[in-house]
Amino acid sequence: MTRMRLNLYELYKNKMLLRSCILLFLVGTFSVFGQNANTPASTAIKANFTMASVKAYQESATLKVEDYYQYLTLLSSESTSETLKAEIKSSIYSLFESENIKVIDFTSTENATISLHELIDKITNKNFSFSVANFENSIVSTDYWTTQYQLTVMQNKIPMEFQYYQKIGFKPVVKTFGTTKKEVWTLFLGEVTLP
Amino acid sequence: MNPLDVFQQLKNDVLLTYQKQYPYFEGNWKTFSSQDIQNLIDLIAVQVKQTVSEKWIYTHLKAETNDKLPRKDMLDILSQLVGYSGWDEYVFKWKQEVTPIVSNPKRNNKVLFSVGFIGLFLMGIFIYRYLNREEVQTIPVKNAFTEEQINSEEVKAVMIENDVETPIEIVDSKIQITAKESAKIVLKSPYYKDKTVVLGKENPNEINLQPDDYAMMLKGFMKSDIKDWETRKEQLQKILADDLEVLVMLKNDLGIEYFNKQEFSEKLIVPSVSLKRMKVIDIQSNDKNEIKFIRIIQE
Repeated sequence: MTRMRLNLYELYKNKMLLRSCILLFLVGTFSVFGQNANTPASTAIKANFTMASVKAYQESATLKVEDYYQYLTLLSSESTSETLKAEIKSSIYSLFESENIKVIDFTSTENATISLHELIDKITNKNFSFSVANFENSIVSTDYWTTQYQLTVMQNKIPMEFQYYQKIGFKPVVKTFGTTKKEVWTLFLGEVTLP
Repeated sequence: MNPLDVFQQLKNDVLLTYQKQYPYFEGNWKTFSSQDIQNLIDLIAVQVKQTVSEKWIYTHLKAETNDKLPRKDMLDILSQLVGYSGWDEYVFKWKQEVTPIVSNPKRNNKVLFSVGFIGLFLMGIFIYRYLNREEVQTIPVKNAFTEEQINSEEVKAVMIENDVETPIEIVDSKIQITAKESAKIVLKSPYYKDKTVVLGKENPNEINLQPDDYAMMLKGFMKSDIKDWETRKEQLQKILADDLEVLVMLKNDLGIEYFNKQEFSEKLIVPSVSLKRMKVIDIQSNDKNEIKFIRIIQE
């Protein structure tokens, strides 16, 4: 009778041990996943911004495209001094992620693809003037969207019209503010393509 | 309304009818002479084809008050004289005319009472407000150096009373406040140094704000065209702190873009489309008076 009681007691002890193990496993698992949740969040646009926010950034990107073409107009003007041109080039490159980004060479009949750097060299002192209108944004991808616009290039009062697509990058970038660094979401102009 | 009252009215109407026939008569029953009585008897004879005795007129018409109503047939004669078929019609018509007149005064009294009450109530409020009135002050906000009024959009004002902050609207470069003892007005602007005015102690005719030189220069640069870009570049290097942080708040506060000193300077050196859409709402400086933080709204 006593032995039977002892067996029952052992069985109860084993059951409790098993329960504790399961509990420990579950707690451990959740802690691991909980830490994972604290690791850097996804850099996908949609995971970090509402559609309303994305729209606000898209509007801001539109202004950057307008800035870009205004800079190109100044750069293309013969009356712009060389020192100012250097300043303008710097402003243009700041808008893009890289100066080797591919853009359309509107001066060529085949609308060939060239680097931004090459386009800048090609238009300098050619007195082109640029204006953009009718912006439309595409569906948002992981870290970019595409904006479509109409570009009008004037030279000697002769207008040329183009329909372009341009990638707009939007991602977190570490920026330097004096001695401090901060990771901030930044808009960049990307490659220009034909429809 | 008793029949004797109606009879008094009939007597008046008889006099009026008599006056129509004898316009020179301007008296009343008291002054009604024997000649008038004779004339009336004749008038009744002609118009109603009935006879009334002189005595009856003396007894019932000339008397100032009547204790009892005359006979019905006599009342019929007088009623016919004044244009009715008889006494019954006269009483009926007269009551119809008189009833509203009698009831109106009661209604009018009510209306008068209500109007009077409202009037007194309004007067009470007016007196109360007059006694507890607070003087409204209009104070222009000016640039301490140029004496020019400051653009309303460039200044924000709050009144602090018992630790409660209430925004004050600035219209046409003027603030309108209700002077209260011990309240403070705090004026803040990105381009001027903060100013606090304590009411009661100082009730100025105008508030002069001290411009912040570097912030003012930045304001000028933001409105510049391409001219003098080299000078601008040099000055920007001087007025902007190396660790400058510029926050551009996007439409409806739905996003923020960050720019460092180099990026923001580039925007100012070569003015662009986006720069013209920027409105500075806050500027903070470091110990060296260099601008270390700018908050901008993109319009």
